[in-house]
Amino acid sequence: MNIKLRAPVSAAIAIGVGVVVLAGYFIPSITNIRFALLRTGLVLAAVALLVGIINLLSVHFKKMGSDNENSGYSLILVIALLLTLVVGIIDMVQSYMLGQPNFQMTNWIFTYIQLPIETSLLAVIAVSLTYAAASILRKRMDLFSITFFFVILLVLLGSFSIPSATLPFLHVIRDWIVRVPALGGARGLLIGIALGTITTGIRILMGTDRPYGD
Amino acid sequence: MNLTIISLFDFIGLGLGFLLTILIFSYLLGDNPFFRLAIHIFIGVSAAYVALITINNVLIPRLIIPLINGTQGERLLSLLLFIPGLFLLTKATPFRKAGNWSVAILVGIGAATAVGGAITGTLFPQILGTINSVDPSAYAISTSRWDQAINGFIIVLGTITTLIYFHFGTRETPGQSNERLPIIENISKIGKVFLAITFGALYAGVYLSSLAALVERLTFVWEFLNSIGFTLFST
Repeated sequence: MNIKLRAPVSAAIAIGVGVVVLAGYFIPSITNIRFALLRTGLVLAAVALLVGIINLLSVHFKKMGSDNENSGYSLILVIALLLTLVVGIIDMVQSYMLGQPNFQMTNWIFTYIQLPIETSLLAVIAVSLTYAAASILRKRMDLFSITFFFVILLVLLGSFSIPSATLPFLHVIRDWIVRVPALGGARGLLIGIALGTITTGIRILMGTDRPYGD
Repeated sequence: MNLTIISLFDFIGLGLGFLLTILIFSYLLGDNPFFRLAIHIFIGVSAAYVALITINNVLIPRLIIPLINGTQGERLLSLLLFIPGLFLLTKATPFRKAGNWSVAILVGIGAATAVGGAITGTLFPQILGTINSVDPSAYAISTSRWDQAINGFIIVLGTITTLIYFHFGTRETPGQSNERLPIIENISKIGKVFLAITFGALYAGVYLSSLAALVERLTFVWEFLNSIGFTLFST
């Protein structure tokens, strides 16, 4: 039988580090080692995020060079990214070298570019959700859809505070739905997600899954 | 919004915010180049903003400053952190294999943290909460014990039937299609109703949040137009 172990060194590192961190949750004497490894993980996660952003940049640089019809959007993305990065680095240099920690220009970009787009996207969701809720019964008329639709209706009616139009018992019904049956379902979901997370984590810690390259 | 007391810099910002809001709202007419333009600006700015936050809040205080100003021990520790960090950066280069062991450290720590967090932060508290909902000694004195017992029973029923809904194990019978046991199938139908209620409540919550955002944006657009002298309705 010819068994070829994939990435044995990386697997040994992942398993070793993972077992120590997991043991740190339950053995108080190695809590300090766990915290040191968590700090290492935090720094590595930060570097991984930067790698992701470098990858995003390189992908859009490549798209800019091609005859793709979306190459103009890639150019806009790259300009927006680099401009924000340069402004932020200038702010950071001012903050650390000159001792003026105000991040004024970065805050300006956040307040007047990022925040309006984020809020507008959330606002657009309101319209999409209205359309989706209205069409759900038209597309699928079963027990799930009917229950889903009436719960949305009851929770919404119970949440609005229009003095002349609000019926007091709707608040009570809404509170009961959120506090009892929705809580039961949410607990089932959360426990299921936790069990799934534990299974996936243990598969990695046992070396069955090795998502760190060959 | 009083334009007389804000600077030109802020006025340009407000104008930009107004323009971007309109570009995003153009999606209501269907996917179009204006919306895509705004989305690409958003992705670029967000990615750079996240990078800046990461550099400023994690890399500089935990890696760079200890390396420059720290004690000898701190310098050594930072240097030890610096090496896997440098190797991880090779993932963005053609020598990406060199960074595998750094990814392995990250994956190992991440998996262990996820398992530990799921056990101590979700599994135990949620099971304990479910048990407490049918434990008479944990009931509040202010409301009827019968009410609490019935509610507790519904919560337990919801939790168990929802979990059973996601049980897809089947018994293999030769010559027949693999189906769930009839009892599991019937219980999962109750779980489906609880899921519909949960998703309905979550949907309504998200809808209310997005409605608040819509009101905020429309108010902003209205006030901005009014402030530049564009009056839609005279009051």
